[in-house]
Amino acid sequence: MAQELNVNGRNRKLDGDGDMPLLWALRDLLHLTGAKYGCGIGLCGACTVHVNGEAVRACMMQLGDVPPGSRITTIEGLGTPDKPHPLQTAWIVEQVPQCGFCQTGMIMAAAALLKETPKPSESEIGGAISNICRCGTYSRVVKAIQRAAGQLSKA
Amino acid sequence: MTDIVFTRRGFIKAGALGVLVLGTDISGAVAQAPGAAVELGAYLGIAEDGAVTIVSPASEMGQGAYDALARMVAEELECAWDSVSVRAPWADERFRNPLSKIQRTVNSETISGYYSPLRKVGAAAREMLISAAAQHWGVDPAGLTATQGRIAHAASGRSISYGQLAAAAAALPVPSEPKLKAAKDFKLIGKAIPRKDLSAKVFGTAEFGADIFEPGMLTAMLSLAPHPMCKITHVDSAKAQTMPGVIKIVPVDGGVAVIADNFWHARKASEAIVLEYEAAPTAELSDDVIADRFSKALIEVPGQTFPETDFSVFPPKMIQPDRPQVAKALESAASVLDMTYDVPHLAHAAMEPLVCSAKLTPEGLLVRGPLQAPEVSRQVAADIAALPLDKVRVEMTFLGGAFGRKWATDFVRIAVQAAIAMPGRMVRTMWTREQDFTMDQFRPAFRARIRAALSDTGEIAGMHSQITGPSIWRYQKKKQIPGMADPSVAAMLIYDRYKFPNKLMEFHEVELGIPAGYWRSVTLSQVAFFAESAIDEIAVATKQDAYTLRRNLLSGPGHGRLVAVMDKAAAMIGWENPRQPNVGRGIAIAYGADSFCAMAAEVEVTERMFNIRRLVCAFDCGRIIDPSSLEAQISGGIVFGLQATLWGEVPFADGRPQVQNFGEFRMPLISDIPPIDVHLVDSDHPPAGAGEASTPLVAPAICNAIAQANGTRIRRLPLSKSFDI
Repeated sequence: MAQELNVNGRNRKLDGDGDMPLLWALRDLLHLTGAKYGCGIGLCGACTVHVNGEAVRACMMQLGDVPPGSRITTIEGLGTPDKPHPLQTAWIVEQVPQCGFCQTGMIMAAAALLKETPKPSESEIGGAISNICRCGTYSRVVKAIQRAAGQLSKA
Repeated sequence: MTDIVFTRRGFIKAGALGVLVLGTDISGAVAQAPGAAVELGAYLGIAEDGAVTIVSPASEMGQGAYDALARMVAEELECAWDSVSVRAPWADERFRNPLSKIQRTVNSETISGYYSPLRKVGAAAREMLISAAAQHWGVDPAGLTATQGRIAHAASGRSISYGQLAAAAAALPVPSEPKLKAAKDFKLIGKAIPRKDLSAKVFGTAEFGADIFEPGMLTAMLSLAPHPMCKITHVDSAKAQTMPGVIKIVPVDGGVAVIADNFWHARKASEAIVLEYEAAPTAELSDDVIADRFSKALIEVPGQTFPETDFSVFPPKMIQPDRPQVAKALESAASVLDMTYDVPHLAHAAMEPLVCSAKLTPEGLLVRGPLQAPEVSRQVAADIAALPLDKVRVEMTFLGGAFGRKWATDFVRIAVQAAIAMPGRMVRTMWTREQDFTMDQFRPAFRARIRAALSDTGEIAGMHSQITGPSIWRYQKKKQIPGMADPSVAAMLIYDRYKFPNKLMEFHEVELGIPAGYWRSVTLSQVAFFAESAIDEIAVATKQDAYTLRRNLLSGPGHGRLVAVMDKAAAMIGWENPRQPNVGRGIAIAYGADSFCAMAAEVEVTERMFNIRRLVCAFDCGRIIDPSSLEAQISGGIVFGLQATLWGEVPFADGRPQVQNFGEFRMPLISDIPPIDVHLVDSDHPPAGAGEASTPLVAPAICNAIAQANGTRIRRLPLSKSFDI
């Protein structure tokens, strides 16, 4: 089956099995490899993307269950070096990533949080983001989100 | 030691001069070389437009190796840091670490091993560029200065860029002893500068093991027996053969690989495979059986010792401990403190599950993946493909965490086995998270029984430490050192440093057959908990302050750096401050890989609950290359240690690990992280590795704090066994 979705602003036809997780449709069919496979059961959050503006664990959403025409945003569509999302800028300023594998999912989760809660407290961040980072970048993640939140409020 | 490497000419100026070929694979296709760059060796290329390419000999797995190593070259080269790009390594004997004489990224040896040779690469290139400029202008090189990628002649006001000089410089002789800068003149080393790899990591373009792509590429997923030594007796792949996207099913070590057009097809088909196999060598094992075998081994298995080694004579002389003296000290002691500690099996759990890709063409074999051991991987791949080494190219992607697991080559072997069945196609072999957990090479479980002989005045008259558990070296088939127990069980013991007489440590080996491997901080991951808990128990039993006792035991010469970090950590936690009820503070110290670490914790305990109020750490690894990156390593190591302290455990039942995914291997999340303060001690000592020593101190610091808070002594990890957390 072919599913028509708007991915990072472009209309794309995804010709994959209906039970194929969105993560693998993005990675193997569109070669958008920013979202990562970390656990496959929705626990780690490395695969986080936005579906119609909401953070979703893409390993758990089957392609056939994504409403046709949905807007999908991946890390590649969130920002670019020329036009970074404030979180991406803050992430570099705070020197957050170590190995970097979980960071794209972490940033996507944070971006969804900031849309709901533009100035999250530390405990709101901890309550909303359950992504796993094995390198232990958590305190810098919190700092970067709060830095970006400051920038967003000025914008 | 580092000079040996440098004076082997060819280190800087290896191979033919000419175009620095970037991004070639073994088929010879030259990808986008940024201008015509001149090769100054395996490490360094300077293009006509001044762009500087530095190859990192070490893998980047989050520790900041790419930037740290490139900075060592760039510091001496005197180029603009913005003009530098760092290239990932490939397996190449020119990239061997001078300390281990092999190219690998393990053991906290990257910074210490490459510091001197990489600075010399940069300094030699700078001197060659200066010489080229002197010849170009016909002036005395003494009147020339190199800064920001240009050579300037003050007397005439002229200047010329490195790019314009690179070709001429490359033709000059390589100075064997280039002059290195004084530390006070450093512009890059010691400064907090944003890492170059972070941009790709936040925009999603960083290439990890599973991210490589080329047209026609295939994905292999595995169906594996529960243990790598299981003999496969039958494979039923009839159903899998017919499933969508499946191209080929091939035998690999311990099972089969299902090669398909994408991950999802390969995964579904791999789950449809029915494997039959002989019982695993671990079939009878459960945690109770393991505990029972540990109890028996302490009595029945003869202990192997960890003798001191006297390197002042050759061959080095081993000084075995005096067993009768230790026995006598215990017999004649006023009291003996008898303590038994347990730690469980642990998983590496890097966020990136194991993955490796390979492609066999008539020209040779290309292997690409997140590897800690490129050189061994190359040999392994050559053996499997029956190719000479020079027909095998191994390239590193970014590593999505490793922590020792990607030092093994089991996943490289399987990837090559799958790929050679599909010549001409790149085959990416991916492990599921479940396979990554269940087929891990675990940090083994260990038990320690420590008996301390105490005098009636509270002095330590002797200590007999017995450790039982498996030997990693045995599992890895590494040759043992005669007369010495496997040092990966217990080395760098802190009570080597504590001053008291009659120390005996023995290892009573138990062969479990459970895959065992190196895990962040290796020996210290268990031994720091045993040793730093025991010394704390002695302090409590002899009614001494835990910090003061340690300080007294380190009062002799040679412990300055260790005492300094301990003093700092004690000050940071407010050791002397009054405590509220149910609040305790604990301290623990370690040294490893020439780094000195002290940690202190403050906890509040109420019955089966406890709250970590603060963790503080003082760290001295000699000269700091980048304080921000270093702090990240240490605080990250603390979070890693926190996981092991609170929840880390891989139980075994029916011979199988009982962890499938993160549901059973609980990880800390943002909301679990206590306030962590790290203090870095900068100094002129040579820079040392920093990725390990903070991890193992979390457990003893917290457990010692719990003991002070309410008298509960924790002798078994993780803490989730004793508390509701």
